[in-house]
Amino acid sequence: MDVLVCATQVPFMRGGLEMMVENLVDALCDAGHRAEAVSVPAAWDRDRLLDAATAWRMIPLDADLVIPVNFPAFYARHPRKVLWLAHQHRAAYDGLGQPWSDIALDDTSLEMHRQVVDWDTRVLSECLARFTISGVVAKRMQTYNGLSATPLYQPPPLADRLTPRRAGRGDHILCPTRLEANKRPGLFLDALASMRTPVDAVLAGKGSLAEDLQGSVERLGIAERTSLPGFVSDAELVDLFRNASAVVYAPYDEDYGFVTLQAFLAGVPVVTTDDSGGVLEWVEDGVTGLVTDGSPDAMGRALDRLVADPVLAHRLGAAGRERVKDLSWEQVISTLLGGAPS
Amino acid sequence: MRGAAAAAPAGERRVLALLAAPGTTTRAVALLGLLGEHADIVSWHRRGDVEPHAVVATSIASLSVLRSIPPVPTAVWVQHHEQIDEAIAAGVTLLLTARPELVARGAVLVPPVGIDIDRWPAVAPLVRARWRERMGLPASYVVRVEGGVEPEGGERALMVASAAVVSGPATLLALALGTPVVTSVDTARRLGLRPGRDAEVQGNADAALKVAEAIAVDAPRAAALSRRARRCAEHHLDLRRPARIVAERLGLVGSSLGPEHLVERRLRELGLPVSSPTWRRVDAALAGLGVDRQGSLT
Repeated sequence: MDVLVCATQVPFMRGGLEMMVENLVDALCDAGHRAEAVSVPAAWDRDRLLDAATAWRMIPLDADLVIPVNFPAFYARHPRKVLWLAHQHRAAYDGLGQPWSDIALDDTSLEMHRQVVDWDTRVLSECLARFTISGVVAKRMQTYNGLSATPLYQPPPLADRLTPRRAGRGDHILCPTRLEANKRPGLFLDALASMRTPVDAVLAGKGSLAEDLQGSVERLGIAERTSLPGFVSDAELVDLFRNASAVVYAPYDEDYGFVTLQAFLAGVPVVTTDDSGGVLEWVEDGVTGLVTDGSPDAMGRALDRLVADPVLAHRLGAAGRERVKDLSWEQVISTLLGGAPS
Repeated sequence: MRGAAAAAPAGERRVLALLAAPGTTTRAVALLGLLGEHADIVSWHRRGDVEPHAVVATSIASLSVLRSIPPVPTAVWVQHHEQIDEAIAAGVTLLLTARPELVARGAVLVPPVGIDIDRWPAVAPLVRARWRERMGLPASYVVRVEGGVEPEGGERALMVASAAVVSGPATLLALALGTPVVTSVDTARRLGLRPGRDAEVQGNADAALKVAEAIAVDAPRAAALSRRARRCAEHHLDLRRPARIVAERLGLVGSSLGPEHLVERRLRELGLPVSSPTWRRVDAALAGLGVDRQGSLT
């Protein structure tokens, strides 16, 4: 079967979505299909928001099946369209009112907003089947567009290399994330500062907040035990996961969150917040990790608890691994293709 | 087939004759109102020396008259399968019907009670909430409208309401706007609404209000009802769509063959209103290609 994976390209950006598309194309090819990614650049500012959407309606897509994965790639026009949605344009949905949403209450914003929601609903209705990368993404579509979708979970990058350490306790707390506001890396530093047990910590990743966060480390007095290495290689990341006593991952209303699954595959429990969205589909308080209210004190206490009790940390991490170990690309492919039977 | 329709040359206004059989004229009134945007409408019986470019007949009974006229594109209302066979044998260009079950045989659905959908934007519950926020209205805002709609206040209320208890003619507008609707048994029957799908249906006013209040605080339910209400209006109650088909098939408007019309068609599929800022973006893009889209909208 010839399959086109349709995605939106944001020039000069690379993150979880790009990895997901590459992995999906690879998995389709491994399953014996011809597959390629098709991407069209998009802009997220309000006035140009629907330019790429309009373009997608005109693009000829000669394939047996198309699988769009995000806004506005799901505007692709094809009789056999199976959605696997990573996210809609969140600034027009759950992100309304957030500082990063430019859809306000003026006339132009309200009309653009009306049109985005109306169009999204129409083109999402065209799909032969609708899947989402997580339950939280499916719930948003149900809430705002009145359309149902089924969560379809994927294994995270490095899944085949992440295994639990053989013995011993972890020697650091890890927070691997892009250093951007929606990922809230500052919460991690605040939590470290409020811990009673001083432990080494690593905040790995790069982003626009890097300089500010370095300043926070100095200001909070945790510079001696906190490392901000920036970008780390895959091999380094695997080591960091494997030797962590806990992983902190506390983004705001995350769509999915590969970090959670990577931590679990390494047998490491995750500390998160009760507003972290898709992360909560995996982190169950006291079962696979610890869920806090997001205050520095609560997060610090959770980390103290895991550092002080390696047996508990091991038990939670093992339960997390058990929960994710069966995720496979084979299952993803068969489900997606099954959504559009010949 | 009678009179293949040649498209109207640019700038020329065509003449459409109405051939009305006794007792059947009302079914054509709303449709002709929209076709009047494209053509001059004359009565067949009072056309004088005017030679119409096309004919709309309200009944198959008029076919005997049509057989005696020069071959021009002709549309005729049909009510059952036998009439379709008869009309096809007579060579009419287009079949019109109020019966959904005849659409499968190629007839164009002209709802007996309909609305010009292009005039009304679909407003999803999430967007309604933003409008209420701007207007200082409560987060949950249920309105009750019976009979007709006041041009200003009534329309606006239906446009921003979380849910509405509506009966009578206002129900058409509420559905077109994508308002989550609770309506009466009688209205649902008249409009052919499917209870629980196109709208919720309740037998008494108190129960209807309670249901509307429940919908107003149930976002997924409101979103689903809103979506289906709009689709119902588009697919079963829209007069603009059949008017567009009739105008094109009878040759009352110019042909839409150029690439710019393909863009237009794609955007129409998405229900883009004429007033949308997105048209300006499209115009700007097409202007760079030397295409003048001005005036091509209907």
